Amino acid sequence: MITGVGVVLTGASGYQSGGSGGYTSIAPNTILGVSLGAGGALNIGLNNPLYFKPGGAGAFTGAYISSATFNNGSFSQVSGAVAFEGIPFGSRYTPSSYLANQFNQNSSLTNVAQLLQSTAQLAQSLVGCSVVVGH
Amino acid sequence: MKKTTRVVLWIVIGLLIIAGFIWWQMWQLGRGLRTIHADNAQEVLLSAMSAEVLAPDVGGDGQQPNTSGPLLDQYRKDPNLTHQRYLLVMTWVHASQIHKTTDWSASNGKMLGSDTLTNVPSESRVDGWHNPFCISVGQKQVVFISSGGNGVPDCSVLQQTAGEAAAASHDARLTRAGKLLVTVQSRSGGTTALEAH
Repeated sequence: MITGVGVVLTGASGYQSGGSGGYTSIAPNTILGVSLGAGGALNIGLNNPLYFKPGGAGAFTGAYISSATFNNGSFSQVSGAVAFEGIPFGSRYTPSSYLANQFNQNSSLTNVAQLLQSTAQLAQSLVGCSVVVGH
Repeated sequence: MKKTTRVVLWIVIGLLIIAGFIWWQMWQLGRGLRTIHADNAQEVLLSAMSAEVLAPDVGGDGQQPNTSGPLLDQYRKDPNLTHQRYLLVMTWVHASQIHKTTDWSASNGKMLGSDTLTNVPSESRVDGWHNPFCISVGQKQVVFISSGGNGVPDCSVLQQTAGEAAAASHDARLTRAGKLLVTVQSRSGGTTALEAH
């Protein structure tokens, strides 16, 4: 059984946040999908890739992130692309080992993914339908 | 120095500068990605599960003020509401984790405090507000009671509440019983029978 939640993340104005840690931008009308795949792997996907650029002077390079798969304590796949001043190098929807490697070195991200995976697995036993659409 | 040598030297220097710039940019991006703090994202993502794990009377229906519309718009309007929903979801998650990892066979008919369950990691033994649960173990169901942020509950006076919650339960979603929060989990399959939704 696959359990999935579809959530409308942004409305017409999108979402931007900035600070010393970096700048994050999500396009208007973005939908987040969270599902459990084979073997209980957590799949997270966005219909519009999220853009992240690190903070600090001279940081011109950012990254688009469109989806991630998490299982057994690490990200097995992250799809996205490195971008210079918002212009991506290649497709924003293809797997990137560079992004997966960076994600796996961030304990904050792996902890969140682990918690989300546990929650989805627990919720899977609660919901009786194969696909659940959130609000 | 020949002109050709000078030209080659300048090309090599130019390429080294470009390579250094690219390396510096990738180093900055890598450092940024490795140090993203996902605390706020955790609250937003977990609160997104509220429709699945919370009953309508505790905000699982998304019909309360500021709980409809895009998730990040809700978060921007009222971050405290997102935080409260996150605490409710975490309460359900921890109760479910306790239920899943505990063998209840020796506890039939007992009322326990979750802080006594040493088989469960200490961070999971508490509700979203870090207070222990009162747990009533029945033959078919296990009832988890949280004070909902109102301190450590007095388990000795909650047996009747647990019985009423077990009788009224349709599923394992977190629901309200007065000021308390309750989830009733089935001992047969992890959760009680489900209503289609």
